Amino acid sequence: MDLNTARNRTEEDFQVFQSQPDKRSRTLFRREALNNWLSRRASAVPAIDDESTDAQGMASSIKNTGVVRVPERVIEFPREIKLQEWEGQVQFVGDRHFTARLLDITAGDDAETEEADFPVDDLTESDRSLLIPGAVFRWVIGHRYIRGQKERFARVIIRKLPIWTDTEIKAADKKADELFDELFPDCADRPTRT
Amino acid sequence: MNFSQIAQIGPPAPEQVEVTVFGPSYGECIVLHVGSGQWVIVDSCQKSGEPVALAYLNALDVDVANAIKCIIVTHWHDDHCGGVSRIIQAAPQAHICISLALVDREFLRFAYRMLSNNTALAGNKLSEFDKVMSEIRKRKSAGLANFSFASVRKTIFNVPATACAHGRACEVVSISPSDADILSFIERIASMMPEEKTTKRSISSACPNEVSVASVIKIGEASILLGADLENSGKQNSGWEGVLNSHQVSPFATNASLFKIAHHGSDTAYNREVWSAMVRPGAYSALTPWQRGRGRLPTPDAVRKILSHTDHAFTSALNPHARSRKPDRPLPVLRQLRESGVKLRSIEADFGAVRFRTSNLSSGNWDVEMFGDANHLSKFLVRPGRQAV
Repeated sequence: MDLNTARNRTEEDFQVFQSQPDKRSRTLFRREALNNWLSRRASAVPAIDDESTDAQGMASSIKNTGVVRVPERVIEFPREIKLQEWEGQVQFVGDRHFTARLLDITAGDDAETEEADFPVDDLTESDRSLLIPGAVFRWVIGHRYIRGQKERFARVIIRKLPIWTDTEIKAADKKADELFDELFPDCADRPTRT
Repeated sequence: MNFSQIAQIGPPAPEQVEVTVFGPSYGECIVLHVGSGQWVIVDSCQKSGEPVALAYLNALDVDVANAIKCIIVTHWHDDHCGGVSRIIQAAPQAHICISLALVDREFLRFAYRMLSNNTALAGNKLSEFDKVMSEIRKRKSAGLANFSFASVRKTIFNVPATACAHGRACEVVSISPSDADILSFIERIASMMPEEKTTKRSISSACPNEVSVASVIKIGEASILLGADLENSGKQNSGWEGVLNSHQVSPFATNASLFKIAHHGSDTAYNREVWSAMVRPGAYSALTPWQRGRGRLPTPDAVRKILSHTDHAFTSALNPHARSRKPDRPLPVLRQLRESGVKLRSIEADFGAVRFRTSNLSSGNWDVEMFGDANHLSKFLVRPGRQAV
């Protein structure tokens, strides 16, 4: 179809006018043209109501409802296998690297037995803002399967830790003050927090 | 000698004095026999999940419940108090001593706030401190007097001469922290205090050291200097300078024949004046190296400084600047580590200990035995296959 033929057909169905001097156009549909187009499309495109792949069956099940059903996309989630997982506590943050002590979660350790230097570049921008001494993170190494392909991965995720609440602070201070008052009953070094 | 052979020799004779310095590359414990089966323990670290002091004394067949007379926790860092609560539990009659700064209201609030932070699986590093405080509280409530808080020039513990087979009285005196040390510590703790609506985080390893309890063990005229983790402050009234200031007014002890070098032999703890005013020339000395993060102690420069004072300097563990042991991992993990550019290293060091024994303390001579990774300090200046530099 050449350009002129196409333009003529379009102008049959649609009223086109220039609304802006910068050549951007708005299109208004004529009611009869729109109805014609919908009926042509309904007869041309089969509606898919079942999962049958049989062309005959599909043709016979066409319902002329005007609704086009697109088959659901099958989303394949990658299957991940963790080979090793640590919890880290950041000790030192430099320009290029940060150092952390690591607790081996995979081995079920309860004390830090390893230490590592990580490139700061490997962190996402949002994680970099959380990178301070004392920050806690998870480091996972493993492999995953995506569309049948096996690939390795290593992830550092800095935990967004909760904030101290007034209740927690007050409860801790109460314990501390009770101990202090018990050890030094006659000492009033500074007023007790209320 | 292999570490397992440490107890083969048996316990010291009643008239012998013994000082054993234990330390992997992270942690420190000093076990002292002051005479007649009476033991003092300064700090604690663990070997295979057991406090090394208990393992050692049990291996020597010592009745720990009655023989441990005093337990000093020099400061609250986890490399100095790992497993100390188990020692206290095993020796319920022993006198407990901690730094006076650790019972300040400000520090207690800091400690209990941090103790309520359970965001990290590795814990909050203060659980041992909490257990020690619970025990002190219990003793206080029961009206017992077997606990004390160390500050400058305070007698922590003593044994009369009549109770010692060597016929000399023994006195353990704390020489730090000074009042200025305590104030500066509290100021720093206040600046680190977790506050409402701030994000929880774990305790950083850069927490202050200055309230560490350094002490002198006087046995008759002889003395042993235990430097704990005390560092120089650059001020006349605190750190080692504060100790020296106080020492000039009234000497704590002169001519210590044995010096447990302070703060893992760091440059910040080295003080020429301490060596000349408080330690005998050529005195026996020992340090416990420290290897965590980018901090490695002692530095070669500090080792040279120490060796300029004595040829009898020893270390309880390997050179922290030597290549770290790589962790044992399955091949796919090792491959992934190699590709990710992350440098992983083990911080579990093999244990070592240096044992000093003498039957004649006033001679200033000690018999030295080294176990596990312990070695002469000069070995830190030798690279494999090379001469000392």
